Amino acid sequence: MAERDSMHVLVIEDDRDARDNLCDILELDDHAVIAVGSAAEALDRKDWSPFGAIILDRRLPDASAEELLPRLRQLAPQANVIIVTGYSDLQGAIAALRLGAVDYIIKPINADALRATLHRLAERQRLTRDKERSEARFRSLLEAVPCMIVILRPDHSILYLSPFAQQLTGYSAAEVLGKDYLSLFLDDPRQTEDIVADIQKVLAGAPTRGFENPIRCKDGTQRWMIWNAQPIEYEGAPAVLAVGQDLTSVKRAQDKALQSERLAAIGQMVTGLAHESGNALARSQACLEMLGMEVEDRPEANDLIARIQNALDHLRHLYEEVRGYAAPLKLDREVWDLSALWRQAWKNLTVTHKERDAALHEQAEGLDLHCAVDYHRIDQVFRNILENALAACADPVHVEVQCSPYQLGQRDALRLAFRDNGPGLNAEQKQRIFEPFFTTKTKGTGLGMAIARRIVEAHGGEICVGTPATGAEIVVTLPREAT
Amino acid sequence: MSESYRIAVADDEPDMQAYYRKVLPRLGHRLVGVAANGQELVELCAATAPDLVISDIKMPDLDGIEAAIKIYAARPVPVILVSAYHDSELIERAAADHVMGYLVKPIKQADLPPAIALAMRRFEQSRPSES
Repeated sequence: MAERDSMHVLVIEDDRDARDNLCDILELDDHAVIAVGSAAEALDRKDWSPFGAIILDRRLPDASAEELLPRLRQLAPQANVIIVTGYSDLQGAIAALRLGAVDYIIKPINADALRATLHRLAERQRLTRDKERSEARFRSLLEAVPCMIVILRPDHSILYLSPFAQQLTGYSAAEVLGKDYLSLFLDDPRQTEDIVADIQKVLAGAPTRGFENPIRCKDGTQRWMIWNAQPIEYEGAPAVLAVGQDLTSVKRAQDKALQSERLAAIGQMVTGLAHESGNALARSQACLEMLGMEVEDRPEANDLIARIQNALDHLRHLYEEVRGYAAPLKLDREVWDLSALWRQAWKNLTVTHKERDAALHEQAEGLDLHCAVDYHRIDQVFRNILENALAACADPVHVEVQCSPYQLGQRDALRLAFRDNGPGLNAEQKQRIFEPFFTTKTKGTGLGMAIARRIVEAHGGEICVGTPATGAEIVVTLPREAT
Repeated sequence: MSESYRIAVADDEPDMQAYYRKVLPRLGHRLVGVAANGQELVELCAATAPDLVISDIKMPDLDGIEAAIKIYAARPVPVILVSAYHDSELIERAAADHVMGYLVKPIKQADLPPAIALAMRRFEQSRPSES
């Protein structure tokens, strides 16, 4: 005999005998029965929540099932309604089914039939509960997983966007539900066709694995994702479940490593070139000086020689800088007060630029500026930044260093923002300023900021362009201590 | 104040050899000979007993540093080494008693007088018992 699921049952039956009969049968099966004789009595009840089933006579003296049903469905949506009816009134019973009753029993009531009906009901309710529980588990899984989870309709409109996905992309679910995924998130419109084809493939039953592509977030930034997608049924219709992992930091690390390799290769090549050229440079210098001795009495010749000398000096300086850039960086770190370093760098610069009207201001608010750094290298960084400011700004030059505490991951750090009162950086400069050999100065190797970046990053810090209202700003962040 | 010294020079580059031949007399010194490699330099010093040696480091056969060691062992004389680039390793090797100066190529005429004066003074100071 099947396991009995006892329920709370409400019986609404005016026929006394029928009512008693029902109660007997139900109580025999351990159901908890409440029996009333009229619609009014039933509607008087305050607490409808315990009822798993309502047995309702098709024709009560004060209401028909059609009248009562909608009200009952409202008051006890969890309860299944069974209509009690006679053969002659079968049509009415079937009509009641359309209004939300789940079954009917015919008088005179057969105990076994009733039992079977209730059993079926209980079974169905249990299945519904299980399904809800499993859906709740599914949802909480979707919400807990730190992956971007998207469910799409076959027309690639968005059915679901997980909380993590919302966080990652900056869109709330409300903003995107129903919208077309591709036009919203796809960074490169040329990929549209391929992705549409992929979605069709998935729907046809071929799951996708490891598909890499960038998506565009609400703020316009790009994130690099790797996707797995498969067909599912969502709310009764075919859909595509796509799970994406954010590879952006991995990709950035990869790009950085690749760039390092390239730079190292270039560095090697250039060092070799510079070394080989050293001799040629020395010979040129020697011969130029000898030529100078030959034409001492000819002013035009001397002038030409002076210009060649100038060019040679420039060439030599270029080689020195490039060698300095490519050479391996070995840091000699000691604790220094950073303000002492930038003040010294400024002093050294202004000594060679005595004719300029320039001032350096500091804003440190009593912050302790001690930091474990390589004196010589960080001096170079500050010098390069300040030199750029002097080159870019017209007199009177005003450079401000703003210091604040900062966290680099878990590490205590100092954030130094060097701002000048010059024309600022245009879009191209902002993007390329740290690129080796990028310069807008007429006399620059374009290595100053590239070297600065190498040095700062070797210290475990960061250097970037700030976004001030006016002027240019370079922000250097240095961890207080070496790891 | 500037004295005239008898100087021996070594460099395997003909242009540099021509340069020293031209410039050193202009600065008031006497060039006693030009060697093209380390071995030749050692022999030149043995034969001419110069006041000062100016030698390139990178030369075929014996390099400048090794030659300086040999020359000093035979007869102490101040040596100025000339290198193509800053190299801490080289500087360390060269920082021995007998090396009194270190120049980096490309050399300009203006670099020579102070380097020579300094080398000679250092050498005199390092030899307390000599007159």
